[in-house]
Amino acid sequence: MLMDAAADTIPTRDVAIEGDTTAFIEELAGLVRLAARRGDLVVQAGEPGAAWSFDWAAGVITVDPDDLGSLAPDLCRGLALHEAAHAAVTVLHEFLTRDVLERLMPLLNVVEDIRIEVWMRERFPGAAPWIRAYNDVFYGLCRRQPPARSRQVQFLRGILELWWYGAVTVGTAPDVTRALDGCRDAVAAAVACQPPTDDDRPGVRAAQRSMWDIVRTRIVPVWERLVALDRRDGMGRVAAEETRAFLRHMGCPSRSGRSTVRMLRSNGRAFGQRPGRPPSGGRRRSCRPTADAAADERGDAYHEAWRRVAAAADRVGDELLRRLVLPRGTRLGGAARHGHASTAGETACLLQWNDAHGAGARRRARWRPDHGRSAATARP
Amino acid sequence: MSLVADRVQGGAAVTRAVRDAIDAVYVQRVQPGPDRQAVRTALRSVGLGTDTTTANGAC
Repeated sequence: MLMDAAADTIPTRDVAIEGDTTAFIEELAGLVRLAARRGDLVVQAGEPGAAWSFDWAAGVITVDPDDLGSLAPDLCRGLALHEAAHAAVTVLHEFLTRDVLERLMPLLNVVEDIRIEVWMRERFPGAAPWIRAYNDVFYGLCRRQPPARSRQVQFLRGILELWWYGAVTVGTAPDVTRALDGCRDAVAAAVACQPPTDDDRPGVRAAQRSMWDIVRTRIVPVWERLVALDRRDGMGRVAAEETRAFLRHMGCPSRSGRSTVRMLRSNGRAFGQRPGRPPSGGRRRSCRPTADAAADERGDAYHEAWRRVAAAADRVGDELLRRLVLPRGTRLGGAARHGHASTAGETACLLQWNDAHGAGARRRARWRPDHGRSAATARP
Repeated sequence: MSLVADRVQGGAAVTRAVRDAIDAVYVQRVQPGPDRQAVRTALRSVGLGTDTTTANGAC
């Protein structure tokens, strides 16, 4: 069992937690608040075997306590980060009506999940192994499922499989394969509408709108054509059942507003699952698209103060350190930062370090003699 | 910053020095237990964890 340093007692990576998971839930709560920069997010344990879910309106992530005790902690942390990413940058509910969301959510969620995963690799570079781990498990499970009978669900699964494996499951209908080929560029373009990695809320919304425009004009017509073909062939009921099953695995809002998410449990030991402990349920990710735009703006005074001064303070600190101590061209990793924190809630500012991968990297470029001025000033 | 500078001038690798400084200046000021673990995990998630194996991308 690998442990973090110092006074912490929670296993960090490979082996599932035995016994009381209360402290781990508290850790996940702190993690999602830090990652999403939303101090209002709450993580709570649901009923054993229940789905993980995210209530967008209330800012509550519900987790299955059985999963916490049977899967590798880093896998759970990766999923928590995925939820945090949705909380941070998925804002479809801010400009789409509930009817549109419910009608298109299976498709929107597929594209959005890929977009989120790509964003997470940039935003949480250290979490890439966690993300890869749960996706390997999830997509491995998907591949072991029999092919969907309906074209629309084959299409949804195909988008995900093309992204992760580069190929679709054997048995995918030819017209679905053609549809996937026809949408490949559109999906890539939608995924490329990446949110900024900082607190640029207008940028987050703009990226989401751009993604929606591409999906609406280039992917939705294809998907709806497949839906119509399913209906023509008398597969409406089958398609509905398969779509519900797909939503249970993937996580899309239902009419009740509570949605279910990816199922990552498998039969057997996977990613730190304790030997001999049978899987009891599913890991599912979800979102609840009830509009609550104001929630994004919440924040305590500390956070607000940080937003005002942190960037300037960091620039001054980095440049002083570079000029006085380090040779030119040395990467600081944005680490020489300011601040003092006493609780996880107060340390939301710590995630600013990741900004070094964006604005910080550009600031560093200013000091490289081989870089032109234009590159350094592209985004002050 | 001075802590980082001292360690780097003393011959420590920059990455290691920065991570140690983060731990000393920030993490150790967070109350022990879940809060501190959350901060550690957040740092790991952005590649600044004190666990170098994880920071290097191993799982």
